[in-house]
Amino acid sequence: MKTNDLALFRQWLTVVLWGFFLVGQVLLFALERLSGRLFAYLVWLWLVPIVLIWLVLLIRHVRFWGQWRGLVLAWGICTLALVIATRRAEGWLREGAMLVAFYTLLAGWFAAFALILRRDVSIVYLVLFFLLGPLYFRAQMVMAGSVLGIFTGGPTGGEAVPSPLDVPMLLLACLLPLGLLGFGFHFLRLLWREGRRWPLASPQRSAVAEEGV
Amino acid sequence: MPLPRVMTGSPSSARLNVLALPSLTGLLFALQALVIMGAALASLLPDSRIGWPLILLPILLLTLRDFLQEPERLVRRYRLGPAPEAAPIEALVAELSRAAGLRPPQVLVGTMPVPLFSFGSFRRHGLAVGRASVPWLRGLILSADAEERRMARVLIAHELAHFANRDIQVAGLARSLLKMTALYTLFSLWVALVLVMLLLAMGPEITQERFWLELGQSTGIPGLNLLPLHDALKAYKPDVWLLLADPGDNQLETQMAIVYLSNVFLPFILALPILIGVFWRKLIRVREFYADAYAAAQVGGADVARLITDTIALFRAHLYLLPMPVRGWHRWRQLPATVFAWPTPVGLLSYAPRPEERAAALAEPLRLFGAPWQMALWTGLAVLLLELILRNSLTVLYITQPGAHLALLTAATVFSLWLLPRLAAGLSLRQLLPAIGSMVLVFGFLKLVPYLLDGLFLALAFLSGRLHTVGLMLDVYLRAQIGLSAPATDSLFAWSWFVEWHLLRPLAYYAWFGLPLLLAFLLVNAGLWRGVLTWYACGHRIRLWLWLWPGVQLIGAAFIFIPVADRLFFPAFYEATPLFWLLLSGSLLLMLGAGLLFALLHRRWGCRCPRCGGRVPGPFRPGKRCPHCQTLLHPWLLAPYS
Repeated sequence: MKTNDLALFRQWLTVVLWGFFLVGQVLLFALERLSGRLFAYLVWLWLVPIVLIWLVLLIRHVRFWGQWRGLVLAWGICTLALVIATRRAEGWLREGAMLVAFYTLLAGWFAAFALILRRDVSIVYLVLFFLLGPLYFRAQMVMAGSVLGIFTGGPTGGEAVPSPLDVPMLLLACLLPLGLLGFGFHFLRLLWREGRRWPLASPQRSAVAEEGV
Repeated sequence: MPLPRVMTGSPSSARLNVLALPSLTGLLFALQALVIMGAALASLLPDSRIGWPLILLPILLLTLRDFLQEPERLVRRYRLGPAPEAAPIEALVAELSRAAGLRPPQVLVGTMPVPLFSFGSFRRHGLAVGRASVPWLRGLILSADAEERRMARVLIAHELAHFANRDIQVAGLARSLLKMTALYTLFSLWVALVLVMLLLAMGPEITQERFWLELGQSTGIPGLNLLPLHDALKAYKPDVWLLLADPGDNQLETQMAIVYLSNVFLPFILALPILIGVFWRKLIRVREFYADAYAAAQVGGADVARLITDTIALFRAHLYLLPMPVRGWHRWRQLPATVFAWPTPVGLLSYAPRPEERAAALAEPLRLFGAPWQMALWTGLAVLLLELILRNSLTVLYITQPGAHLALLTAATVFSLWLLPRLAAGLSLRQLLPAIGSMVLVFGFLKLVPYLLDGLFLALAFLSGRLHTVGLMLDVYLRAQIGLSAPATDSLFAWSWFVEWHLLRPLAYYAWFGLPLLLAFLLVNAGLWRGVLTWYACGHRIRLWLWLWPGVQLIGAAFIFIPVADRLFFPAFYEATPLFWLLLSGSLLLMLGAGLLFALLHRRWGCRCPRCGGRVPGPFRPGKRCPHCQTLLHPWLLAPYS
């Protein structure tokens, strides 16, 4: 297959898979009305391939998600959706906001993953975790009244609905493992490039730099 | 102002080839690495009580990562890439690299306003040229004027020299080591302080067994019992566990913790600006002298030293005329580099030597090593910074300090290597004696500065009549430094102890033993090296033999003289263990064997012509020839340029 054909095929594949994914969202939204175990099974059966497909798409074709702005946007929307779901909305709006929060949460995780695969930001992840983690934990402890209260949902018992304040915890929880794994991955890549005397710049990369992309 | 020309009637027509001797760049790198890694290396001593690989490994990994990343970072920062218009530059780079036996670096052209500079890592090398400089450099390379073509060769050879002399690796590793240590230290201080606050707040709850039981139940996993984790943590640090369980006066605990942690990190925070601001820049300046010498050797021809000076002046003039088309965001991104690259009036802070210094170093290579007191100052400063770091709370508590050993052995090594070029230039011991004396005195003064300051502190406390109050404050400080926070019942501090161990014994140790030992070491080593330099019949292997004798002397100092003196001056700290006697006797035998070997080799190779075998009387000096067959002796020690 020629290079142009291959690129066209990949673009179409991306469109088809994204379409497949979006249809899945609508179906899931409808299936939420189904009860209990059936819904849970459907969600998990649906989620596993979606996760994998989305991951491939994000990393390979959607460059936006491999950048800091993608990460900030995903977690920002997630927080906003949770604020809407927990403070203002009722009924369908609330359910829709929760669904948006759920998928932007996944998108945020994948964006973090895609970013660290594309660029060596492992140290930034680790620094963010250790810089903000203790402060956030302390704030949670004060709000919950005790250390145990953080895990059991505070002195008055667990909350049924996730709070926007959970977002930093979910973000920080992924930054630590991703930072550690990313450090090793990129370090090995650096050593490999060093061993192979990888060219410092190629004409293709130079053209990209000229365009300022 | 016109640049001064190189003196044509230099003192010695045969110049010393500094590229064949241990470089000052390497020495400066070793001193910086010693300061940063000293505490970590000291932790490798047998009775160390801390797992420093946990601290050493992150620093090493972060340093290596930063160093390996740097070339690509520069490519991005200056938007470097291959360009067809740089073909003549690539051809010249390939030609000169081939001639020097180097792998040619990748020639990259940058859209950002960059001068000509070499960069890279261990195996990936690049040569960056600003797009605005390409036509100018092409013009020189393709010029009809032979002098201009030579100027282009000088510029490229100078940059290639940074690869040949391993400057890229040495300067890059030093930069990465200092940068990562600085960042790691500041970040660790922040994390440690925040974690201490958090632990003190959580302590009363998490030290209860009930917490671990309920935490296990809250996970919802049937049968999960977290009590063993509680027991393990309690057994790991029982005293800390008790403190956390009942912090008592929380404010006092917090203050003591802050003092303790500041003591751990403050020495690094104080030492790093000096290392980054002064030591590293000195290294960057010194490597330019070696690159000039290399370029002179590569280009050769008549009056090459003058040619280099003229080329530098021409290149600087060209740089001043370059347009600076920096726009938008990139202007702000360049700001830190621009600020730090500003030429400073103070020589210590500048990145490049002055043109007249470069010309002088080409004319008389020994000048690049500086005056003896300067070398003593650099070494003494490095040793002081190392001692500052070794006095932090962590090292005081958990690792055995190398004490006076490290300072004396470092000074002996550095000063010996500094003396080698002078010996190779044919200076006699009598001529070197003032230099050796001034080095020992300056180093000794610097080494004793902390003790003299202690004495001044004592005098001020005594004269102001606040000896008791100051003693109480020092007692609190000592408690904080070793992590004690319980109410003071017995004083840890006593002025008699202070006077004896901080004033009298150290002063006596250095006056009666340390400095005489250093002086003797340097004189003996200079004598031995002066002898080895007459081993003409030995050939090129002489470079290996040169290293053996200071090595043997260092072993003798480390395992015979210093341990014996330690046991005489500090009997309370050092015991005569079987290991001590074993090392002492082994080292004595080694030194005896080395002495016999030296005598044998000197008899075999000393003062003999490598070609005719005839006797060559007198000491070595550059350009010396065999009186019988006129063979040039040690030609590798002669700079191959005029």
